Amino acid sequence: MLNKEYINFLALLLFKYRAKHFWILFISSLLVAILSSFLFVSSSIKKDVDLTLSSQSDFIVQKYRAGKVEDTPLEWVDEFNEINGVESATPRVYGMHFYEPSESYFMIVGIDFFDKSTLKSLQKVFDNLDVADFLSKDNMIIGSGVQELFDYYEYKGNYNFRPPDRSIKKVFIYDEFPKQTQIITNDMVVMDIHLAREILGLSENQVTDIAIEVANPLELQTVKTKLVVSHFNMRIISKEDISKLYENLFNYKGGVFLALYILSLITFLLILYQRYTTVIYSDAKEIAILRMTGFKISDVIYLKLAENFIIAVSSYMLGVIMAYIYVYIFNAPLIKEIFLGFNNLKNSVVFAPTIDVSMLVLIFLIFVIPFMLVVLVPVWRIAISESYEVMR
Amino acid sequence: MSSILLSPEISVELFLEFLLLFVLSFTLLQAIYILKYYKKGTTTELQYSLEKKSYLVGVVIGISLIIKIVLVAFFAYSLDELSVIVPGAMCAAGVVSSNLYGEPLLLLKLLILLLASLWLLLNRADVHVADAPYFKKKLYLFIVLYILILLEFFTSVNFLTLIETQNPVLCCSVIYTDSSNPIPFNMSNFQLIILFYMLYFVVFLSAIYKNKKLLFISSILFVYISYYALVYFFSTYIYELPTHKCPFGMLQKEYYYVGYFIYSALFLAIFYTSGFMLFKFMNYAYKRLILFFTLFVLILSSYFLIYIISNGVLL
Amino acid sequence: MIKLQNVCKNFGKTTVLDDISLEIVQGTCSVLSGVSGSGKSTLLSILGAIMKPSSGLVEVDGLNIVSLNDFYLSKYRGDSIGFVTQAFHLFDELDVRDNVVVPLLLSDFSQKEIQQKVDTAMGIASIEHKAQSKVTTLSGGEKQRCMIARALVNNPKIILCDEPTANLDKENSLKFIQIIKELKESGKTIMIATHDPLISELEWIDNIINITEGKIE
Repeated sequence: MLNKEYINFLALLLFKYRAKHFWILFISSLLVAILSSFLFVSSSIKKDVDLTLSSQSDFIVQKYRAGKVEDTPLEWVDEFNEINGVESATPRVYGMHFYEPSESYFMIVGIDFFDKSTLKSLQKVFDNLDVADFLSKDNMIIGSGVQELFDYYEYKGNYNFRPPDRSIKKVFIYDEFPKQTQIITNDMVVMDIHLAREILGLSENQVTDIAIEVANPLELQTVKTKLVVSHFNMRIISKEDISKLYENLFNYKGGVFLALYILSLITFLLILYQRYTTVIYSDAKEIAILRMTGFKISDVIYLKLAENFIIAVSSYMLGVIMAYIYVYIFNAPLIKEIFLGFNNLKNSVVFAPTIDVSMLVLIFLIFVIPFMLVVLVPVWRIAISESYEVMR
Repeated sequence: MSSILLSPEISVELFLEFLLLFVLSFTLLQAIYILKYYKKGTTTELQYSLEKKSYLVGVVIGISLIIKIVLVAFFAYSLDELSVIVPGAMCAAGVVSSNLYGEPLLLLKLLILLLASLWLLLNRADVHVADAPYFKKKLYLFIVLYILILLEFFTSVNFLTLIETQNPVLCCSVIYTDSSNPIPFNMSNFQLIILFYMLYFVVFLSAIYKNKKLLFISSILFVYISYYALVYFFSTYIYELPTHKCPFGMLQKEYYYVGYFIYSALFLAIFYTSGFMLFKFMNYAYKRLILFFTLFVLILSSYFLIYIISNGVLL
Repeated sequence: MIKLQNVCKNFGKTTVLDDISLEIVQGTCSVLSGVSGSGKSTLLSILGAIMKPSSGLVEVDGLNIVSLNDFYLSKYRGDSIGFVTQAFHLFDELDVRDNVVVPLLLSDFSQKEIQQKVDTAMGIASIEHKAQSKVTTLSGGEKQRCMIARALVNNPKIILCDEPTANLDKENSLKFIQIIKELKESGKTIMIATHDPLISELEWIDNIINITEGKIE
């Protein structure tokens, strides 16, 4: 039944009468583009987060008292190292530093360069880090957001920290974190653990928290149980929890947006329905001709549905391409701020082009299906209209 | 709860299900109206308008069911995605078993899938015959389908809202490995497999000789045994792990999504068997049902054979 | 042979056709005459299976087309009937050839066969020289002939014309009449609803059926 002539005819109908279809195509593509942009940005962020989190430790243990996090005792480190299954327990020192002129915070992270696992994590990010050179004086590695801040306030090569004891500690800028890790490292300042202690005002036998690596991923639950029973004034955050937290955070924003999108889609569909239900003379005439020449009602319906399906799919493809260009070539201004708004410093993240097939299928389903459903009744209405009305 | 509902796949899925339900509800009203007043063979104005209405009803139901079928596949995929968020779940099995509504939902979806496909078949046959013999039957079937779809929607919502993101769920290794023998009649694996192949041959023969009674009994038994054979025997060869017995894991990327092929083959086999038995116009279907049952058996057997040949031992 | 028996058509409370009975022999050319609104177009629509009567029998070669559902009705219409109307039911933005081919879109013929049929039909209607022209560029007479070509492409037994010469000048009307005469001679059954005396006064017209207010005189 579907011969070449039929397909040719369908193509002609669409092309020669393109003015009729133009507005629907335009608005549809726009809607698809907006939705796709959001979904692309969201999935890029997820990928970046996953990448950076992959080098995180399996558990983080903090001392917890009366609902507040307190400085964790150093002696717990040895205790945890004794637990079977724990590959390493590493003390960590970090804290927020308030920079008054811009009223923003950056995060100071102290690293024990003589600890193997910490060094390994850092070396995942910095390939050839010369530890000896770094430790020769008070050095720090900073994130892009911090670098921008320093550039703005014209700190060249070093910055003076003011620890709680009111002294001044001059620290030199050694290097900047690579762009791929920006999502997490944007407002980070990494330095030697003892230096960090000084600046943050921690005593020698205190740390901010303890990072625990578990050798066998299947043992995670077991180790967690053992940790939990070791002390009761303790909070444990697992890598899984963090990744789920981020996942939920992004889903949350994605979800809110999806809800808004669905709302606007409904409005659009109502308009579409409205427009299609008024049997325009030319459409009725078209149908009359087809019926006159032997088209069954179902044939007419299928033809019109095929027409609309092609419009739907074309809008989809146009919209997705527009979104791709917007997000991955122009870096999604406006939308980016909505997603990354929770960060403190301005984040100039570059989205890495990822093509997530499931995302594309999702966009296809959420757009094409409502579109086709809403076109059904108007098409039928037109198809059953008795041709004689137009015979005169 | 909200984290589940807000993941894009799930919210899209629910929205589309709701939309379909909405559209089908209006269609239901039309269908009931048509059923009430339609008198075959009369030629009044009312009849003509009823006939015209029936085209809309037919097309709407047709398209909705096609969409529904697509959504079932999408649902299977979403379940797998959900296993990332649900603690303790390594694949869809954990998600499905996480609350009371999981398994009923799955069964409902499969039933709807089968009936929807049969409806589409019925509709196609109906349109091409002068006096539309299946006109009323079509509409009655639709009413049944509608009730199922309504049920499915509420089960879906309940299922999704009750999934816990805090407490870990069981994974297939716990669900499917029981200390007591889960295989019916307390058969050993060996006996199970022998029965599996035997039943396949009975199905094959009864289809060739078009013996509907025998086909009916043997196909039901075969499907029942296949479930156990698949989960407790063949799946271990797909995963190449004696303890991994799970019907869902094979849907994942690591196994090249072979699960979708296996289940599609089985589903199509069941579909053609039902069609062959219920409808005269489906007499050609016996060839198709043989094809798909054979495909199903072949895929499973090849995993088993390849493993034996390359490793020389049984699991 | 076409037979109508006690055919009535009501639109709501208005009766447009009242107890129409007539018989048309194959190969004849009949004229339906009457003023506008007398029911000519409605009768033609019923004959052409576009509309179903409110009551009565419509038989074509023994086949009762009233009882057919849309599937068979449409098939019958596509195979056996060709329409020529006054309102130029053509796809304006497409060219002549693409308009003529429409009845064949759902057929099983090969590409070559389809092209042959289209060429033959355009030849009979003397419009082949305008095959690639867009319909909007055609004159009234040419548009009419395009419709004739489309009506002929499926080689139907019956040709139904509704006020075919209403928008044509005398020259084109005569051209139209010439084509119809040829079609009649080739054995087709033709029915023309018109109040144009040019047609009703032709000697080779087999019957004239007068309709007034839905009844035949």
